[in-house]
Amino acid sequence: MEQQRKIESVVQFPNERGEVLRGVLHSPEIGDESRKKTIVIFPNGGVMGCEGDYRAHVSMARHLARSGYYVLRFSPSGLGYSDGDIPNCRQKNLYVQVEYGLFVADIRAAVKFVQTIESISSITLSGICGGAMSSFLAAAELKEVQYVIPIGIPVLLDNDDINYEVRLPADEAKLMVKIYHQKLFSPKAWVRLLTKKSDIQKIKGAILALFRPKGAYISTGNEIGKFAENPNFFKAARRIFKARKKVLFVFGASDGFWWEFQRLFLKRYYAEVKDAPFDLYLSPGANHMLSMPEMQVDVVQAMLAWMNKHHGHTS
Amino acid sequence: MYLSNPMNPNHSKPVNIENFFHDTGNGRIFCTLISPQNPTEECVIYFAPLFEERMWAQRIAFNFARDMAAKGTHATLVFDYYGYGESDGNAEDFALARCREDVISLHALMRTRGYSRFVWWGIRTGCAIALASVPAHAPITSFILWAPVLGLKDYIYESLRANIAAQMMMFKKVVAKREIILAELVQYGQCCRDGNVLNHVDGYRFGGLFYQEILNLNHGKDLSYLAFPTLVVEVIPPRAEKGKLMAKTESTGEAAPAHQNLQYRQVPEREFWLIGRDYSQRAESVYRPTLEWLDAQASGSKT
Repeated sequence: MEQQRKIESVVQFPNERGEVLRGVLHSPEIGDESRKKTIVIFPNGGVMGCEGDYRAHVSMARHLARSGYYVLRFSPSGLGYSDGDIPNCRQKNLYVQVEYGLFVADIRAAVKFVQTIESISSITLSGICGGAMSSFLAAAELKEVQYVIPIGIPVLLDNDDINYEVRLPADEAKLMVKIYHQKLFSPKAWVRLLTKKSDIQKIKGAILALFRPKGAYISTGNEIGKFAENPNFFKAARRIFKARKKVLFVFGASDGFWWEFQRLFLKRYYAEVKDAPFDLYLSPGANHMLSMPEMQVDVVQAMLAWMNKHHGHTS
Repeated sequence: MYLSNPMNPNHSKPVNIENFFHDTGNGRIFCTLISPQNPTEECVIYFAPLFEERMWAQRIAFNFARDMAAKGTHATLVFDYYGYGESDGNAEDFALARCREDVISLHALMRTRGYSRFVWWGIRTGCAIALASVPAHAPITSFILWAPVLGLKDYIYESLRANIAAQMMMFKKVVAKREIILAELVQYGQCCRDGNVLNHVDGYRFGGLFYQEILNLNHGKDLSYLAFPTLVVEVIPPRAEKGKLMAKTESTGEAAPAHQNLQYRQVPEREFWLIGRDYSQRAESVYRPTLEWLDAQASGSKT
């Protein structure tokens, strides 16, 4: 507790529009002057502010600070306690805006800010889901950023017109159908179904997913009714790999986005990415948003091992 | 300094927004003070909902605080409970007794900054926490309760339904029913299976001490005991069928007997504390009657 008091401080800085962005700066507990000053920046957590969903950014930042890293967590414009507003829209439309880079300019402002407060020698961007995408797109653009750790990055664009269950991986669908099968003789389950308390769309989606042709994971393309790959992700990946920036992709093993990443990126672009400078960490038992503290600890330990290796730090 | 939302008629008036950590002597509490540029003695203390609802309500509350500050009437202190948000501690450490101590400390801090009249404002479970945190000699002038959840015990029991669904995914069967989770929580301080902690609502944990405190709360849904002027704003979501407003009025009337301190308003508004199809950072139909009520309270106190 005493140490935490010393290392976390509130910060604020302007973005390009003059809006004040607010956040928390964690300074390292290790007072080693010979150690290179390295910082990790966490921007938005999806469409949440700088603490992230399930408070993941807070706990991960505290772990990183205990291991000698600076961490800046900040809320982009319109989120958390930062200035700005996000106009009314459909939830998924907001996700699409994030996937197209809504917060990249604010990350640029954060990078500019951290360069003024400490003699930082390297900058790593990270984040979960929408935060991962924001960081990845910013890393492609900003020469000051040499490392990026996207966690649970979506490679597909959200779509307001398509039921989410269409995205269900066949493997996960099998598991769900097995669970529904077990409930077949449960009177309670039937009561819930008949009183429309069950998630009918989810049940329908799971059953339909079983009948997809083998290998045809989900419909993608640009026609109506199909999910579209995020062109910005693929462009950013090419730029990042070309610049030989270091990437650690992290996914929860039970995250549906991991299946999308494998099938729509790794397998499809294998020839292009097989020599690219990226590493991959699959966190056993973790879900998409790292909703449990244990999942957050597992992922942050993998981040630390990877960063320590690249920065020549001992763990 | 911030120029508030253009949708707000006072948008041209700048407001101050200050983040800081307040050391209560028993951990640091993260605070955001949203205040008018002109001096005021009125300070609203905001009690956020628990669990995931807190995240979705955050910006709705923040924007209302900005509106009040832009009007020049009230400053608002938004704070993260111990174990929540940016404050010290883990979610399992959150407890009502601790929250009460923290709020007393925050009151003292606000007094040193020139605030002398305090309005307590809660959203959803934040209302129950506020009501349970009232100290013996409360320096409170009034209460505002938005979509209040007053029965924390029932709320947690209902919310644990999602936990059961999560168990099905994790273990392929239910390993601990809700009653078991709560019983083990009280007895052992947590409920754990194969290294997985199960005392959580949608991934947000709660501790045994907190749950024990809930069981010991002696006031239920009856607000008539309150000695302060109180505004209760009930939110009726748009999908509610016609006639719901009337039905709700009757049911609320029953739950809360007529009392001169209590005023009820029902407003059509989406359930902004839940993830939904639409995203909005404002809840005008809740803001409006609350601002009117605050104005009436202020003019009443002056006369």
